[in-house]
Amino acid sequence: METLWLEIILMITVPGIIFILVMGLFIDWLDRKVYARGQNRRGPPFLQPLYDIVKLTAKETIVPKGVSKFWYTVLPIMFILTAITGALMIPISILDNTDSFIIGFTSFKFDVFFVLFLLLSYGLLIYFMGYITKNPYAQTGATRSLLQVLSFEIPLGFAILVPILMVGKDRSDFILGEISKKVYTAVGENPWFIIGLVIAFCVSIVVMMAELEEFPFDSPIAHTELADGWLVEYGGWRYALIRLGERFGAFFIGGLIVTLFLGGPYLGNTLGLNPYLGFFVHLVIFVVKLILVVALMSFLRTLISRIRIDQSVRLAWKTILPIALVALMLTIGFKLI
Amino acid sequence: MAEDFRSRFRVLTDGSDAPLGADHHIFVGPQHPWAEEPAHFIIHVKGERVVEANIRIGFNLRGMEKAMEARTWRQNTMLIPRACGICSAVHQNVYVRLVERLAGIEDQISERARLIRMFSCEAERVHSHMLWYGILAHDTGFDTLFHVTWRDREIIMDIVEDISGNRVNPALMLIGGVKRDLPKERADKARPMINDLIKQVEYHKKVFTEEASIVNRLENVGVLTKEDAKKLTPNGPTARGSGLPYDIRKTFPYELYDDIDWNLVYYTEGDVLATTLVRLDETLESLRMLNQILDRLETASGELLQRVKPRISEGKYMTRAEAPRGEDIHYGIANGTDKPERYKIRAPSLGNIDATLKRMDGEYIADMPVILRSYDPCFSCTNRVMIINQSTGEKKIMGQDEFALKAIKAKKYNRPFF
Repeated sequence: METLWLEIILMITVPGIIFILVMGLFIDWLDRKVYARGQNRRGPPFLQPLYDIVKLTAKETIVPKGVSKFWYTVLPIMFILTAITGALMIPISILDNTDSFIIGFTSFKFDVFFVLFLLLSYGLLIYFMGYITKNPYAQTGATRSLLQVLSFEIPLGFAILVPILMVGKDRSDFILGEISKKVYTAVGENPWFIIGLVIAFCVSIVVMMAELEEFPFDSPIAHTELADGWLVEYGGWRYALIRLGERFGAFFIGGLIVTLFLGGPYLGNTLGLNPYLGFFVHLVIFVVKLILVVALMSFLRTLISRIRIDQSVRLAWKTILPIALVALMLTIGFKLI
Repeated sequence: MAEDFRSRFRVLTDGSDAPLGADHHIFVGPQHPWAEEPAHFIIHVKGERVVEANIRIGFNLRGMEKAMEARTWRQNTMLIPRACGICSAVHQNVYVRLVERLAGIEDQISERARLIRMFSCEAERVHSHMLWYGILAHDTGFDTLFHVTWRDREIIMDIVEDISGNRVNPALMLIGGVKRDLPKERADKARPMINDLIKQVEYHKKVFTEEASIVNRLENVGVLTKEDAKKLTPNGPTARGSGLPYDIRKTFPYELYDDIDWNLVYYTEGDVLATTLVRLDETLESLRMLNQILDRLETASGELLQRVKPRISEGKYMTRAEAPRGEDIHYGIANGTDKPERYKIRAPSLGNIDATLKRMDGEYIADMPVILRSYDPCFSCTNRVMIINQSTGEKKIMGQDEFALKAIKAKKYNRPFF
């Protein structure tokens, strides 16, 4: 009984929803700051993302003519809920060390594969959100978004298979926390695995940028062509929800990369620590790794210009997919040796 | 030639005169994040490909020509740079040369005054081109290059501010000469800054030609062949990117452009990348010209300002100059008083619209911002005449009498004219 209450409190507070909210806003600030410094600008003040959200909730909301108010309201809520569900699956930290590894709050057996489903529904919700507004810009943007998500989902799937294959044993549970704990051990046992892991990490960074519609892959929301694409009709608190959902999505996908490729909250063997100290250490390690991944992604954004939708789909199928396949096949080969 | 020419200017904006084969109509503007300035583009598309693109202009008439008739020639010297937000000096240069010709003193302008005028015009060309290719980088989604170019543009803005006192509107010229001198200490201060800027622009050119992602967005996009260019008569960098080596500074030299050593830049590819490279090379040429002008100013002498009578004798004359965007044409009629009888400005953007919309045929919608940006649209200096009043959907042509009535009414109630 006591553990249940503790778990609910933790789920609401620190490794839970409030932590994700704060981290989402922090990721927003970090992303904009690194992007601005890469462009020789100053960047926003620290609390700017919070100001943005508060300001947006105070704005008037306009429902366009002929748009179903039900879906117009429900879809942004579903969007943010999907992102929160995904973010809660990431193993961050846990107070008692009775379990053999850290698990996320909504985690269950074989959840590595459920994560892929969540990612796809994240992309599909973007499509529906653009589609229902009946704006030509939004529909064009939504179609592009769907095309891009479907193209990049397949390389992402192959990239995620690489650490799963490395860790997986006969009686494995395929839980994210297990993979994050055992990925370094697997590399220690067979150093050749590092090749496939590094390639898959690079692929997943690119795919993450495409999933989040960040700069080189932002043709669905291209500001100068489509006037922010599928977002064009949203305003007020719905837009604030979508903004938050995007940032939670960034937390989710970045956390997924940290978990699968960088060992999540582990850095060597920290399980023997005092529970309270261990809780804090795991949290800090996870946050530092997440900051590194997000900063790397933000810096990559400054380097090249926007890729047209046909170019990005061609990139996904002709370049990224073969690379991901090579990583997968290398890992299978080293596993069999 | 005439039969395959179809004008791209439209008044109806409901897409009812769409060409065959188009299944969607995309309307861009007058309010759109792509464009800072008001113009309405009607783009007929089939799938992702453009069938035809049309334009409706006329959202930004400021009645400047009418306002000029109510002011003296001398007052108009300070009104005319306001025709355009960026190329203010070249408008003033054309105006000043027109009035000098009408007053018959065009031979008495000293070498020093002419050099200072040229300095102003060329500095303006530099900052206009840098602004343009920065925005082009923003349109292709390369915001880093946009911020870097605009950071470096501040160098030339500082030079202009140091010499004239203003950043974008130097207003150095007067009828009969220039307003202020360019002393030696200012020139010495400007020289190292110009050399710095040359290095920076060479770096920008390197990025535009070597960075694969931006070259992919610009190369072979919106090709305007030389034959099409001859039919549609673009001017300025748009023409020079399509292999028409036409530059007023070379073809009909004014001021001292035939005395200074510079090269005419032109490319034959005709795509947007060629237009970009024309502007980049021209920026470098202009910067080298600035250095030469500063060197010549060390020895050049002469009075800065000639005396001109306020009443300009009867006559009419047309002058033109190479603005950053193309050929700028002014036509003025003097009636012997101190005010112009009629004054007409033809800004370069108007001549480039047809050719640029021709570039859109058969391209992706995703290339729309880049192609439409390629001629450096400037509608505040394009919109000169209001012909049709299209409230409530009915067409109504405003004649001379109605204009006059409106003018009288406006004067009676002391309201703005439009």
